[in-house]
Amino acid sequence: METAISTESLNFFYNGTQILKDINLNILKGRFVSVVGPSGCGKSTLLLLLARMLSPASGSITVESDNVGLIFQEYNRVLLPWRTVLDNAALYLELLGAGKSERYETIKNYLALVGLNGFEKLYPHQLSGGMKQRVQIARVLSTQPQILLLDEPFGSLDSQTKESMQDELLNIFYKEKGLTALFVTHDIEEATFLSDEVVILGRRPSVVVGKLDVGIPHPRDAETRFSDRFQQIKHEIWKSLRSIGAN
Amino acid sequence: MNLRKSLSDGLKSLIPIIALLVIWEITSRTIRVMSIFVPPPSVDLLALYHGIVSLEYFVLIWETLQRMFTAYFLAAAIAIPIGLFLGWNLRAYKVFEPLIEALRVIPSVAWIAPAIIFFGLSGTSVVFVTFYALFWLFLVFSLYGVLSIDKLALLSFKTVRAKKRDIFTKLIVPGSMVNVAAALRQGIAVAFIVTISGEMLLSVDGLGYFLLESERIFAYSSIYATLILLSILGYSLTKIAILVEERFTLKWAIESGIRIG
Repeated sequence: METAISTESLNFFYNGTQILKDINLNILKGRFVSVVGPSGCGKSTLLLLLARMLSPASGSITVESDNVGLIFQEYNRVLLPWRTVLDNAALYLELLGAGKSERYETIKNYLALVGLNGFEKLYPHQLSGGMKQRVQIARVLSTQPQILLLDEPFGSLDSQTKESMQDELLNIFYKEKGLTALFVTHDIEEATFLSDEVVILGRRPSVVVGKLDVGIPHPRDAETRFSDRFQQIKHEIWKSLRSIGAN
Repeated sequence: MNLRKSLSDGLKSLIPIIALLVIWEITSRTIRVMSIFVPPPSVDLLALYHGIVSLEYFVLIWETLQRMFTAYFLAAAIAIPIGLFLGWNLRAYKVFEPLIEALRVIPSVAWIAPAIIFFGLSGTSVVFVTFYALFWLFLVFSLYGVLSIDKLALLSFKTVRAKKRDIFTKLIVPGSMVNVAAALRQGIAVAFIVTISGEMLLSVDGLGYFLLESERIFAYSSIYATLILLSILGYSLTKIAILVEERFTLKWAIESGIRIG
């Protein structure tokens, strides 16, 4: 299988402190991979490096596509309060040079995909947290990324919204063929439910302390969460995190 | 019912004003020395009425407003772009910061002295001093407006390699508009104060000059008539500024509760 993302002996420092140490990753195309680890371990930094928003101190990064989408946890900070849902979602297309009718045409489909049709004319402050995050997801998906990097996208949502967003994210992942996803979270259940593979990062400076295959067949649904295999994987991740003193 | 209620509320809020006028009227009429130096409002309002029907006040208002708004729009047109640019280009800001701080702390009315040297006793001098006061207000507010823009929003623009021009027009400018609108609103009040003060010393017309001139010729009722007029004018200007801000610019900001000042 083709590799979508790989890193080799990746090191990163911030203000003289080593954040990431000797990170080796090999993520295959079409896979959904989660990165879990204690907070402040450099998970977000890793995504910014992969998105080329930061440069590593040493080591190499290979990303097999120029088209990388980055979804942030803090939707309130990336949605523009003066723009409607429609114009917020269509922002990236606009920045990439799409004309008005073209981008509105395209974004309608993505707003429908994330379940926001009918909300086009509202402003961010009129939406719930979950809806705001959907706007951001539509915005990023509209650029048709090959690789999707998600930085704790559901981290600030309540648990019910979170679960339904996870279901929807998987459904989107099934629909958008060829998408590779790297999902950062500190939520073990979330990582298990979404991923094909889970990478566990240790404490700062972070090294990869474990990788495991989830091995639960797709498509997954709410029932998946109650299977024995699901509980077993969760337990494995929990044990790994415990061994590094993260919980 | 609602109309009647708001009408009665409106009338109630007039009571303190009427009470003040009544107390003023009575004291001024009973205390002899006051009746000379602080004539009762009935006399002042009559002076105001005469000034209005003779169109004298309209000429004065026109002169004052003309100066005030010349300075206002000139300062807005120059200072806001500079403020936005400096907020955007922090390296340039670092270079100019000491100069900006050194100049903006000088009280604008202190420039009355050099203004006389530059422009003589003229309306231009008043415009200059008012412009000075507004310039720094607009510059600093628009600069802080840019600085207040979320770094993550900027990062999100960069993830799609947005052009610099797009970042400026689609993030920096709209993102700093809350601050700019606040400055424009406050600017009205500042311009009003400084123009009137400037006219007292620098010009031979306008409301500020007329106030001081009334004192010189012992036309005391004219002083209070002008003060009442300034109250009405100031109130109207402030209300208009708020209405303009609310109607056109910042519906989203008011609704999401992030309006400044």
